[in-house]
Amino acid sequence: MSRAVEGSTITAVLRRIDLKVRVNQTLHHLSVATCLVLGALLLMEVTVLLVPVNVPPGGLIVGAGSAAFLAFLLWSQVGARRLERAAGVADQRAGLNDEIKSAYWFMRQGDSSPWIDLLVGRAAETARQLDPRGLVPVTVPKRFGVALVLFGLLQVIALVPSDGPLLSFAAASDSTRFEQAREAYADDIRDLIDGEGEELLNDEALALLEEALEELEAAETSFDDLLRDLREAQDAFEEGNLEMTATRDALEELVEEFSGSEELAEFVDALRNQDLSEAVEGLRELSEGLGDLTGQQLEELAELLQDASQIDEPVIDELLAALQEAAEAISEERLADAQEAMERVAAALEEIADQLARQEANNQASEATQEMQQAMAQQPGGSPGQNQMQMSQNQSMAGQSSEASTASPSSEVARSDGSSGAQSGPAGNATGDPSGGALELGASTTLEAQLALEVIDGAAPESAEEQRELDPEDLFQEASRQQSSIVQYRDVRAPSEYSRGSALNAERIPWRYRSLVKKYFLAIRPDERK
Amino acid sequence: MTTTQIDTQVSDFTEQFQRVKDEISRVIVGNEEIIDGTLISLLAKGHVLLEGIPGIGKTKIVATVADVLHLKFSRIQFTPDLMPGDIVGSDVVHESDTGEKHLAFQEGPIFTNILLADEINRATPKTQSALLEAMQERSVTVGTTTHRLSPPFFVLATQNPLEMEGTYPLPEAQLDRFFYKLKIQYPEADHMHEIMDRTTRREEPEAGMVLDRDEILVMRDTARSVPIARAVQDYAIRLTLATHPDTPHAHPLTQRYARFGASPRGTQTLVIGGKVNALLNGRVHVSCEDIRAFMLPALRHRVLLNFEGEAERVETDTILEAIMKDTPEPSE
Repeated sequence: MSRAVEGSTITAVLRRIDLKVRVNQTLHHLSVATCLVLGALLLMEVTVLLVPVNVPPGGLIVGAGSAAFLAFLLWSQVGARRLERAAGVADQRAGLNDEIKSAYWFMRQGDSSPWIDLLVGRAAETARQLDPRGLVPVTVPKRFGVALVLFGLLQVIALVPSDGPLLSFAAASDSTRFEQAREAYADDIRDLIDGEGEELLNDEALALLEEALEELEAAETSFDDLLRDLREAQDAFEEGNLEMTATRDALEELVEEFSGSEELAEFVDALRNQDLSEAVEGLRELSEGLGDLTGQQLEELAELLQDASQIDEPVIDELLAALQEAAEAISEERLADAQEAMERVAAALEEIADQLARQEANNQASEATQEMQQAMAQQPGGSPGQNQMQMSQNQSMAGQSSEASTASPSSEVARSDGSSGAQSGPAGNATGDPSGGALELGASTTLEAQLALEVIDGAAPESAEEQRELDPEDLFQEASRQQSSIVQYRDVRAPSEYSRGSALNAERIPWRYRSLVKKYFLAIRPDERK
Repeated sequence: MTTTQIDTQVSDFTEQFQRVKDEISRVIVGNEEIIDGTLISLLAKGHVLLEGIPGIGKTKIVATVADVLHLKFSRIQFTPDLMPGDIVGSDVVHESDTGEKHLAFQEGPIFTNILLADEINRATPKTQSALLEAMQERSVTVGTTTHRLSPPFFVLATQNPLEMEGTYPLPEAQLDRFFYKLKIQYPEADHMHEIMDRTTRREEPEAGMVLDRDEILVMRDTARSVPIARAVQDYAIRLTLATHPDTPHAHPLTQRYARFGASPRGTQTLVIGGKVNALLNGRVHVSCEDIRAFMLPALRHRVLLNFEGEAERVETDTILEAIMKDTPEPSE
């Protein structure tokens, strides 16, 4: 048989084997691609079921996967030496010891010699006996089973009724949650601005809220910006708290001064009950009845008013000045002037009542603002960013409390724990209300945390450094590092080599010392590759 | 030459090799790998270094091979006081019948076909060099005259790995000249019984002559004619490069424990040994299996361990086995 015929026999068999190999390879790649695409779809479906995220449509995934698969198939065929590969497969599967591979290589080279002819002839004979179908059976990859399971899972998930993401608030990102709640936040702010007693509210705070509302409606604000605006508005609402507290204290002192007086009993009771309109009414009745009082009573009243006008409370200085005028007029028996002065006292009290009412309204607005912030920040297992935001909010609240000087000092400790701040209630208002919120102790600072902080600051305790165990090799080389070498390397190399050879070839080193000896020579060896 | 003649030649090769093996096996018990390695080295124009403890038949194997091959055999017992002239010969004064005196070259024991260099590491490097030069050049130069050694020239050197004191270990460059380094293992119990049975009777078995010099030379030519495909040759090269710590093909064990890898002579050994092995299996091409078959004896003395390898007592065989395991065969 001629060499050409033998060559064509081998080539024909290799082509058939190559076809089978390619079919198997394509099936393999197809199974992998199918699993990947179905896996991606399944992952997306599960994600959508759990958290509110925007995912690309399934068709896009399938299309992209198909395109990538086709591109990979084309790429894998470009430049592939298919018949050589088939020869390799034939040799491997039939256990031919590289016979077909060698013969095909010599055929491609075009070499000719009796030995090569014999090799090709033998290979052709072997190839003729090969059964490509049996050698490379077309098999469906088991991975298709996995693909089937994935497909089934996709169908099952499609049947699951869904009213939205199961973990929407827990897993959604700040921005996603914010986008969804934007309208609700706008409604809350609108209610606050347009609610009852709007005319009593702080103008600056209202302006801030209106600005925030506009930005919210125009979708020009972020979660953090809105929080900041609300915090600033809350600060503005609470601006008058300090003055209001001082005014209440002054009124209480006034009550103390007037207590015991029969003529002022009605007025004092009203003040004690913080019913300023009743107090104003009582004062006016007293003013009208001044003429009915005896000289003794007038003298006592003048003395009381004079003493009360001397208290040091600048927040009610107008009222005190009117009181002093009234006292002087009564003592000088100028009852008309006294009545006029008493009327000024009543007017001053009315103004104070208005101020207190206005501040109460502002405080209520402040609470509403704070509740909005807490609602925004409240999230179980929130992200660090949210916790940080909440913490800064609580710090702000703590700051306000200390300004008011009426809040318990421990409230600051309680709010140092970011997670508990949301439940601490409106403790930030400076009304002095002891029921402002339950106090909770924050996590204590552990020694480890303190040490870590010190390390961050570059002030690690020396003991930590000392405690680090030195590697024996470091110990060995420590001395060398600390002083410059005084012996020339070439003076050391030869004895070192000699000692090494002697140790290895002649000396009997006890096993327990072998590791030590090895470490010694490893430590002093020169770099062998140089 | 036709393909039919080659076919016959291949069959003859296999059959003659088997006959030699069978004849040797009449005297030598077991040690098939040693016998195969020795004969392959002979047919590949190489030399063999036999390593083993005393008394396990190193010298017996060599003597039996010489008996079977019908070749001239010499034995040199290497000792520290052995001189190069004792091996290669020297010019001596001859007196003719007429009383005329002249210098004539007196051939040393190296002028033989099979030379047993017993305990080669006991001679001084100078003497070792004289032998190793002859192994490489297949000629001996004395004075200004070069004397060719008659082919086949086959050296079987032995060395004892235990008694190293007072020895001169062969330098790496000279070890490289040995085709194979064969390690003779202590015989197993079954083989010990067989040895006792054969050697403690009145008559010990003797090996007859099977091959003559011409047949050996033909077999040598036949072995070199076997073609090898590029992919298989590439496999042999990759295996060799994997023993070099500085090449991209380096095996992790090589990188850790080896200082230098096998030389190109090592690759030649793999390929030529593979060709002989292919013929012994009736094939007319070399396969990767043939390359691997004698990789350990071909490369074990060509891989030099670094200090860490020596300190850890790592065997080069361990590294080579890992390389064989981890180097993939060509897929196409």
